[in-house]
Amino acid sequence: MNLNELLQKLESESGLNEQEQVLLDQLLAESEGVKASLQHLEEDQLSMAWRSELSSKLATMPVAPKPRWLVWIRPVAGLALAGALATVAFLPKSIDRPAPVQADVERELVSLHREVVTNRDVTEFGLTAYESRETKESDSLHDWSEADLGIL
Amino acid sequence: MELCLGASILKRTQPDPAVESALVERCKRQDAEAFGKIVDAYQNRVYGFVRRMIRDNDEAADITQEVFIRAYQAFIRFDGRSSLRTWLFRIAHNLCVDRVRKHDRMPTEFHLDNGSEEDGPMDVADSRWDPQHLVLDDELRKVVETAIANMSEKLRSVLLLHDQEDLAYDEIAQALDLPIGTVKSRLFLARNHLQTVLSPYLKGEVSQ
Repeated sequence: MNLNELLQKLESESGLNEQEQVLLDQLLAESEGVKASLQHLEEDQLSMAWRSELSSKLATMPVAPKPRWLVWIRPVAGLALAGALATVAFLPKSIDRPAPVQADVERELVSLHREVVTNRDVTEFGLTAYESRETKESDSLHDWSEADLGIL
Repeated sequence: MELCLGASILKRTQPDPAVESALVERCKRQDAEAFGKIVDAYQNRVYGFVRRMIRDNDEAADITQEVFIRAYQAFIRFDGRSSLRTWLFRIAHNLCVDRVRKHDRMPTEFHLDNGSEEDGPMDVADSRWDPQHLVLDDELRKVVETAIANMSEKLRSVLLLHDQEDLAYDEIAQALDLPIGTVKSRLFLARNHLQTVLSPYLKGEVSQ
């Protein structure tokens, strides 16, 4: 790559391709020694009078007002908190919702009932719950007494 | 060839990050004492940058005061996305640019001198630039200062922030609101200019 072309590109601050960027990084690494010439320059010293003048200016200086969102954030946050507390305190009384516990009890009862019915179906000689109940009822209709048995 | 013995490389003192972070928090609550410590830590560095940017010592001192006054007033808006020194140098750079525009004393744009055919366009990797060998006397320091002063404001600001203040590329990009690629380009051009100006001294072509 022609280095003069690169220099011209750098001067015009036009975009560099990947290869040129790598070359620039390499050249910067190689030119680190130039940095030393600046590091050798003496550090400037400001006088105590300058410092005193600055301190006196700062003492009388009004500080910039807070940003608007910082001014309003506290009252808004307070109102939001109060609103949230009010909602928590009053909402359960005003809205009549079924308690979730009741729904659970219902589900449990239905489940228990189904289990009992299934058990009966299995254990009572192959009869369904309805048939089983009917059999018992028909048995009760023919509930014979001791006298009847004696006749037999 | 070694020109002459000079001062050792100055190390810019950097405040401890934890201490600085605590000071920043106090400053956000308008703690004047904490701000005073920040001024003590950065005043000379900011002044050095501003003085080389505008080349007028008295005005540089005034602008440096303005930098700290603005920082003090706006500290509540300092969100910590950039480091404190990047923020301070950003304020300083903006004030320097404003001042140059106001006084209409924009420095002459530097046009790159590619050097003689003999030297070739770039020889920045030359061993004469090894910090071990590069020592500057007062005269050479003046030459460096003049070379910096003769650069355009664009090159000068990047060179000072990177090579003198040790800011990283991304910090300079934040401070000057530039893409990192542009920061690198300008830094290389600035270094190339400085090298071109100082080469005769390093070769002994200019009598000391």
